[in-house]
Amino acid sequence: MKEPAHSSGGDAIAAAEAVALPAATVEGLRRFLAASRRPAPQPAPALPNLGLAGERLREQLAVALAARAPVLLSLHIPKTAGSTFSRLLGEVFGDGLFLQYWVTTDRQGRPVADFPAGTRCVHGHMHLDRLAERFPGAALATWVREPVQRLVSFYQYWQREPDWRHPLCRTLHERRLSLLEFARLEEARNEMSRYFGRYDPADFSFIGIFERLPESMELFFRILALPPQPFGHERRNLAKTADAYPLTPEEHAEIAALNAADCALYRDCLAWFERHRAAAQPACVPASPA
Amino acid sequence: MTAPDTDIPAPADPPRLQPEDVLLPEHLVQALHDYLASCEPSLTRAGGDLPRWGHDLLGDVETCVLQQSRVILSMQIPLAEAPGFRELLAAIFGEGFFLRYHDITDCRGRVVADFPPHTRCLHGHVPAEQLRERFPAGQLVTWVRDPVQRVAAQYRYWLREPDWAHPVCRALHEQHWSLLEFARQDTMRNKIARYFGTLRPADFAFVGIVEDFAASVDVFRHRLQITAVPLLTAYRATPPPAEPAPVSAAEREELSRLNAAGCALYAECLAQHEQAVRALP
Repeated sequence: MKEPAHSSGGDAIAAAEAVALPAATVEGLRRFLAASRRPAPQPAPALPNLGLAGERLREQLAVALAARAPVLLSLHIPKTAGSTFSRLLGEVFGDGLFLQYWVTTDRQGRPVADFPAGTRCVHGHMHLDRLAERFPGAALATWVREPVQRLVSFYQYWQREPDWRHPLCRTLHERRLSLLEFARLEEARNEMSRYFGRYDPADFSFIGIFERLPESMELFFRILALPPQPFGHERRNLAKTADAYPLTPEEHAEIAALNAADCALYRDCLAWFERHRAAAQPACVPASPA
Repeated sequence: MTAPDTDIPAPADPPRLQPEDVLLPEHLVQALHDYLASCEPSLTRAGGDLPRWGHDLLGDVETCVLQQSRVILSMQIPLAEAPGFRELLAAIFGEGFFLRYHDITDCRGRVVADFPPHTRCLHGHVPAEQLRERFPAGQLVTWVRDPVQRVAAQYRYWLREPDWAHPVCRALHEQHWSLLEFARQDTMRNKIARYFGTLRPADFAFVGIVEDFAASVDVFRHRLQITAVPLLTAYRATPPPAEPAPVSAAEREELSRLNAAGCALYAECLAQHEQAVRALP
């Protein structure tokens, strides 16, 4: 005579330890926590103490989702090591990885009509809002980079490898724009913030910092509860690209001012990173030097 | 409408997750629940869409937690339950809801051989000790009613809707028993006490009082932490049970004496209920 008590084994519901919520409810909770923090147009005094508690819960929910969500949405902000990161995701998720750039493709770059049932990770320049509708309750991951350097890198990259499908890139070449002229275009400003959209760092299960690659990798493996993996090759590749572009103080100041929202976001991401790193134990095994 | 004589067979494995479910730590779900609950007054003052949204989410979380908490064992004492309670449980637990009368049936009325692994709530004429023996960690819930009114209601119910499989019901019709003649039958006496057996009201997660329906629903919501589940709000708003049929003073006196154990137990349930009502926020 045994009652149907919950066990913690396998995917059984472990009532004493865990509660299964429908993915749509989880997505609703995430959005509610975000919205209840900024209940515009109501004045803040009407909502005493909601912000801080909600913010903590957002982070706790994001961390919990890291290893538990059925899908990881990896937001690739241009020039933040996203291409390199996608190769690592391919090793982790295998054929469960799909890429979302101009079109949706599988890991090998073959176009697919839609994400199949076995999708475990989507990586790309994507609209998080839309994909979150498609994959409610997904864990979110991204990388960020110091905004001035990111923009300069983007400018240099398009000089070397133009993307003629992108109107901004066409403008850059048609008008032979200088770095500052390019940076002053509205479409080029605060791109990281636009990619984040309505999401905050608190909504993310993982945020990598371009300038702090090894620590970011360690944090990624730990937070996603993945087995430690060598990352020496990717680390060396990324380290090569991490050198700062030389700028005059005036150029730096103007580009920073043009990207004030991104600078604030980057500071928030750094704070997120420090908080999570402080709680982390090393889980990643650096590869031995070649 | 009789308690089955046989023991309830044992269920097997625990329920499985749905593919689209996300398994979150219980402490986090509790924290989310508490946050949503704490938001309610502030958001209501703030206005806008957030209060409704937050309340709906709170109801969703509470429903999930209830569906995955300890199995609900709903002991239905014949003619002593608030109307609609069975349907309420069926609506909350869906596929996890099972009835135990003469057979075990699922939420669609299909007879099943045993309680399947995903059983989350069972309801029926099963004495508390049998339920407790089978599901030691289950949460017992039940309703009680003034024992005099209960036996009178059973008498009138069987006059209206005879259960020809029941020997006492057959005798009632064959011999044209009066209420008191019916109530003097051994098997009709102290029904509530017999269902409770050696268990006390304090062993139950919830004991509703039919005569105090709305407050009982409030206690049910509070004790099972389902304050925001919309079904409960609707259920509480349903009309209270019909006024009891008149019983003369002489009849009441004898029925009380015949059901002395049931009356004592009912008084104990009433005292516990009043205490629970006082503890409501």
